[in-house]
Amino acid sequence: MFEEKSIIELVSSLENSFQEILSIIKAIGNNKRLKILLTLLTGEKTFENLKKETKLQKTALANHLIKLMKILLIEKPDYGKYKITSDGELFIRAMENAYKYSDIRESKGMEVIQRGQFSKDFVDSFFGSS
Amino acid sequence: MQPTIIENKVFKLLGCVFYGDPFHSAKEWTYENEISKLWVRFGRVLEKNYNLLNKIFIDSKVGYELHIEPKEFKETKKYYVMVAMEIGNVQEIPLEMYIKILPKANYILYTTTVGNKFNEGSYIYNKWIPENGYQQAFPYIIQGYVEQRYDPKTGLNNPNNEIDWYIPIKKIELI
Repeated sequence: MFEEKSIIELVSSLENSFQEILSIIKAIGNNKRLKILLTLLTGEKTFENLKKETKLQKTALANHLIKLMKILLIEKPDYGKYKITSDGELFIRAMENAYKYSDIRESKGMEVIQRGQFSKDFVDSFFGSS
Repeated sequence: MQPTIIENKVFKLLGCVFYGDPFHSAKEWTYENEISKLWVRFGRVLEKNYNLLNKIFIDSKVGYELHIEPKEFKETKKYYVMVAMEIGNVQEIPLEMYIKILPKANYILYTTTVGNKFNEGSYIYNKWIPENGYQQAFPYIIQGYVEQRYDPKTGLNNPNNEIDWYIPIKKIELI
């Protein structure tokens, strides 16, 4: 799915598409819009379905949908139904993929596994020797 | 001394490791137990590899003793002890040594004298930490020995020598 580019090629490619990429990040970087995208990953939804699932007011939901449609992450092929585009799915999958192999996830995982306190037995043996 | 908080610290240590009951043959805080033997072993490796290690250690005047409680401690009474020094980036290390990178954490740092290490240590751990809204974040504790305040020649026999204690802490989670 991903082509390996050198750092120079990567920077150049990102710089050439800077505004477009920034618009996509801004569109996804909102908890309600991300929720809409995730909801649409499971299938087409009506405005009412989305309103129910996102718990958004009518106007707010309409605004978020317009933003996502404008950037072609979702579309509305049939009257009343919204659908994630192949680009929308591609970006969500890329994010999930990057996170899955990231150090952030790794360190959070380790943090959860390792967290804890001394047992009473250990405290007693460690400090209780006076 | 009033404890201080150190934020987002990552200890990267290089040293020697013991796993077991360090006091199986000699009591706590004596020179015959396994921890003292570990320091001796560490000293030997250090001496043998001085040229390499001198470049690696951040401050060769500060030694650390890390105590980690594993999950099985209750049944086995065995735990990990590492005696070490702090390092930066390294390319190679002596075969007898290990690197330990501890999780990024906030630490409470306090200092006790050798003479009242148990009383003050216990007070800080059991009283000061919870009373100030903290709890231990990870099941380990680090003791720091700074050469200017802990003379290795007199060591545990000098009640005025000082030991620094680092306990990883986090704010108590209210459920």
